[in-house]
Amino acid sequence: MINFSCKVDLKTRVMVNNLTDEQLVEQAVNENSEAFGEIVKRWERKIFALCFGMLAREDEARDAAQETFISAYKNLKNFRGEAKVSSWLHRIAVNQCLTVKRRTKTRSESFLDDENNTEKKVFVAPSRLLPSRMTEQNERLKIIRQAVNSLPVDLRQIVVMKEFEDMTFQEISDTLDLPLSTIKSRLYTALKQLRMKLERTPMEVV
Amino acid sequence: MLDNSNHNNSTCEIAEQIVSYLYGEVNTQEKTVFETHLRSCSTCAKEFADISAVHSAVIEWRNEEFLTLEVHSIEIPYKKPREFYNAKIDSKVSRSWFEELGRLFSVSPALTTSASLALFAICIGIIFFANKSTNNVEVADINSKSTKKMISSPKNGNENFPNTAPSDDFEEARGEISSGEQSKSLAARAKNDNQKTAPDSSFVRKDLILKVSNDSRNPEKNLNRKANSQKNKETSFENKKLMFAQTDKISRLNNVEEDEDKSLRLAELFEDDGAK
Repeated sequence: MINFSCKVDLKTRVMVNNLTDEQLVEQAVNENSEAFGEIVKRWERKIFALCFGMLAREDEARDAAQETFISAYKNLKNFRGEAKVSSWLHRIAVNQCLTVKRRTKTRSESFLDDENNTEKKVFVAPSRLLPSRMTEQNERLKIIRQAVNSLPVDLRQIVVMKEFEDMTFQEISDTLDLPLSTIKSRLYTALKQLRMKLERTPMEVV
Repeated sequence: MLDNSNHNNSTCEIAEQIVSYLYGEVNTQEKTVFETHLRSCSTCAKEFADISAVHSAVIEWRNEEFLTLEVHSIEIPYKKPREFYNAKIDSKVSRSWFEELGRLFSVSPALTTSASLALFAICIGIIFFANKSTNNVEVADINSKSTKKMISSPKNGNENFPNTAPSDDFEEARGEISSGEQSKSLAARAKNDNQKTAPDSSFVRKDLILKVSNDSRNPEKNLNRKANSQKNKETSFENKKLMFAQTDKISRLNNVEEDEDKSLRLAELFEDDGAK
């Protein structure tokens, strides 16, 4: 969590915990930094999951998540309250991820382009696995990651929201401001495309 | 509701049912209906199996790579907003105008130097124009007074107002002022003449006396005035001639009257003698 230099009394903390996201933003606009700290606390895990699902790299995901909250904090006064705070944060996060991907593409340092370099792999394999098993597992995960990353952004963000953030269809619909049926059909399309991509690889999916 | 007969027409509906069932977002009734349909429809069953396999793969990736990661605390650099906030608070604290001025000029040395240079230039300009304007005013004052008198004096002389004649003498006296001694004597003369003249011209006399005394203190300024006095002299001499001519006429008339009186008296005496 954010380390605040000033001490926050218990009453303020309790009050902040009971507020909705929209009320917290209103408080944060009125220069209550504790309110924005509560927003970060509520959403940091999900935003990090979204960034990880979108970028498939831990370091980039962390940076993107941090940049998302910094950008949100800087643009607090631009939040009009028409959309939900979750939608606002997700939109910022997706835009941030796309910016990071564009930047990495231009630098030719994309993780996908540099898959052969095993030293740059950021995931940590469970220690209980044997080295041979780990290699198999790593190969398998690499193929899945590649398949997810090759999806179009509008499909990928729904997969990530559903799989990594455990959001309900209704929540995704509210966040992206799209009909529920559209969300379901897009997820179905995304999973179908993933299936096709994974079938092309020699490895068995399940 | 799913139906085997119109399977091809309800692809979208099947897709929605598959993902809803896959992620457990269906109620009990919907769940029962979908399971019944899967048992009777091999195509939908195969489709569901494929989608479920992909879902499992993504879940595996998530569990292996993401769930093992610790979510580090996100640190937002509150410094800038805080500094901005503190600056806002500081600005609200009332300060004297001198402190505010000091703060303004402490921002950059270039601003301080430029401001001081501008102030210096303004001061020099003020001093220069002040000197220039005072010189002009003095010369203009002297000229205006002398010309006024010059215009008024011949009129008075021509219209036979002998009481105002001494004012011409003042002008003459003013024109002749060139040294301290002369001015003093003229001032004394002016005083004596004014005692005989109308009381309206008394303030003029005082003014003249003051002017004379001032001129005696500043002999350098008399150089400019000399030029004016030369002009005044010429005009005053003409006026004087006229005045003397008038006074001569009056004296001659008086003499004639006296002579007539004497002749009348003699005639009366002769008449008296004849009568006797």
